Amino acid sequence: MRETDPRFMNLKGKVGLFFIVAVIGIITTVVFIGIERGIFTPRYKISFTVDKGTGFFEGMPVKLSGFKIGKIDSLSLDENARVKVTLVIYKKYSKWIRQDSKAILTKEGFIGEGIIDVTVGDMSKPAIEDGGVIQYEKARGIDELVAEMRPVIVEIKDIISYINDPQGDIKQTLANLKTLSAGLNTTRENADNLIKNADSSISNLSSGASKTLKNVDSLVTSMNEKMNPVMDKLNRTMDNAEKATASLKDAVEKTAPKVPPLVDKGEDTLSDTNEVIRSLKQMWPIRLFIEKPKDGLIHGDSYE
Amino acid sequence: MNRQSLKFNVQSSKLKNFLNFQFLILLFTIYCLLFTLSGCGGAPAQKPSNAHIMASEYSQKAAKAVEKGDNEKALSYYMEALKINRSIENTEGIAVNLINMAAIYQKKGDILKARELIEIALSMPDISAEARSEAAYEQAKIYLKEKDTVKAKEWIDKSLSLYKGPLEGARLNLTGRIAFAEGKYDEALATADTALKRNRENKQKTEEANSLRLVAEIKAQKGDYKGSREFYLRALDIDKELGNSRKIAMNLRGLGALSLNNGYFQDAINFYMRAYEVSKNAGDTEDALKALELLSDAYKKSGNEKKAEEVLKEKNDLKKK
Repeated sequence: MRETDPRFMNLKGKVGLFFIVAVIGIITTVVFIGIERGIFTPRYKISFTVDKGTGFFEGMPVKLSGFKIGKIDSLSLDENARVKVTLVIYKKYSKWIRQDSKAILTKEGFIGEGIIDVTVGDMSKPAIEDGGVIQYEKARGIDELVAEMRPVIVEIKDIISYINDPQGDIKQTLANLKTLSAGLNTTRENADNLIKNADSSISNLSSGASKTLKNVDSLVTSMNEKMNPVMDKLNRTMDNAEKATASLKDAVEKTAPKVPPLVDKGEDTLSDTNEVIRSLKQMWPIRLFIEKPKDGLIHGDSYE
Repeated sequence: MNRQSLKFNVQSSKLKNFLNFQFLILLFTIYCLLFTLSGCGGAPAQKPSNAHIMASEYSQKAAKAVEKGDNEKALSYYMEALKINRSIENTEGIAVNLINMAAIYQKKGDILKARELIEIALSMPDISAEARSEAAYEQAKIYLKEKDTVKAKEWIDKSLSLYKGPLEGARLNLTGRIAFAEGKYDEALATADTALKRNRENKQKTEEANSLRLVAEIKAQKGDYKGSREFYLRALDIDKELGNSRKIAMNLRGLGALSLNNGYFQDAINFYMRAYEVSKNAGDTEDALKALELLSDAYKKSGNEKKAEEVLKEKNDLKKK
């Protein structure tokens, strides 16, 4: 049977052409997306080894000067149960990754997404080749700062308890000083009595005076003996306290400016999350599964 | 049929099919367009302001805290909602928050604070009849607690005249309780029956159990042991279904009193012990102490002085904790 209607003439050819155009369109789109996503960009692999894989995940972005230059390709355990992190890097960026470059696990912002930050190496040094190893360094986060401050705080606590210890050197020294001053008072009273009785017994006075002087002398000697080590300890304590305060001040100075923006960021993130959750809750079909909240009168029980 | 006409028929049916197909696609496209445009058409939905949303969120959190029995948390959430509503002069929102806070204060036993808040709400001119009715209902409850049945009756009537709605049964339950407190048992029973019907119609389970308990109390007062026991047990079933420990203990104490007054000492002891267990495990010390007091009394009446003393000691120990 021959087709006579002009609209159905060469129908097969037309359908074929339409099909080919569609297939070409799809292939072109796929190719464009591939190019856009860097599928056809040449890449190479470098790796580093860490004790723990915490914080790393496959696909984690690798950045250099803030630009994405690759991602984590794989995480695997080596013979010594350490974690081998393999990075896949776009070849075009290899010129900046030199032997002294470092891979740093950090975060975008203080509480942002985790990334591997690769530092630009010295151009005089050789580039890391495919399969090469890059040095790894862990970035200092708030946890590290807190960990750094902990011994300082412990030290201060020790110093305070040392000072407060009733059996400790300082308290004991103070007690000795108290006793000493009481002894001196008695001595002074004795001396006064001696002066009063000077006319009646000069010989007694001289012997009493020499005794008193001997007492004073021995007291001063014993005081010196006791005071010297105590003073040494006190000096050392003060040195320690000074050092601890300086480290604490340093740590606080480093951390303090980061705290307000950190709190702000946290608040912003929470607010954004709330907004997203609120929007999600309003979406069909999620909203069907959420119990309608009670936003009015709670209606008191007639038996309460 | 000759060859020529057959050819024509085939061609015309093909054309028809093609046109039909095209027509269907056209119809489908129009349908899709209309469907899409129907969403765009009309006035855009009015989106509440951020302040309204925040106030509403705080109220919802407070309502959830009330359900969990965390009155302090509920009060602080309502306070936040109240602040926001005041900042935007949302009269209805202010009144609703005040009434809800009053209900919580009343539950906590702080009658003065509850009354203060209710009176502020009632003094507001532009609030809905529903809110005003709820405020009047809370006011009636306060007066009943103070044993001023005349004022309580006045306010519950006001509440019923303002708005009935699905909580008419709750209002009627309170009316019945007022009549019961005045010793008007027949009137109380008739009101409780009507309340029971309304609560069933409106599917208000908590209030249905309250109606049944009220009927049981009235029947007990009238000396109808069997009838009272039956209604208490029905109320108990519903409260168990609702998981309301306070009401379960209330029903068990009611059943204990009923058994004791009718000389069934062992039954009374069992009911009081159950009431104590429920209250103790629900963390309701006040009700647990009440149950122990009643249990000691039941032991004493049954002639077991030693056990009565032991229970009293247990009560004192619990009180000290």
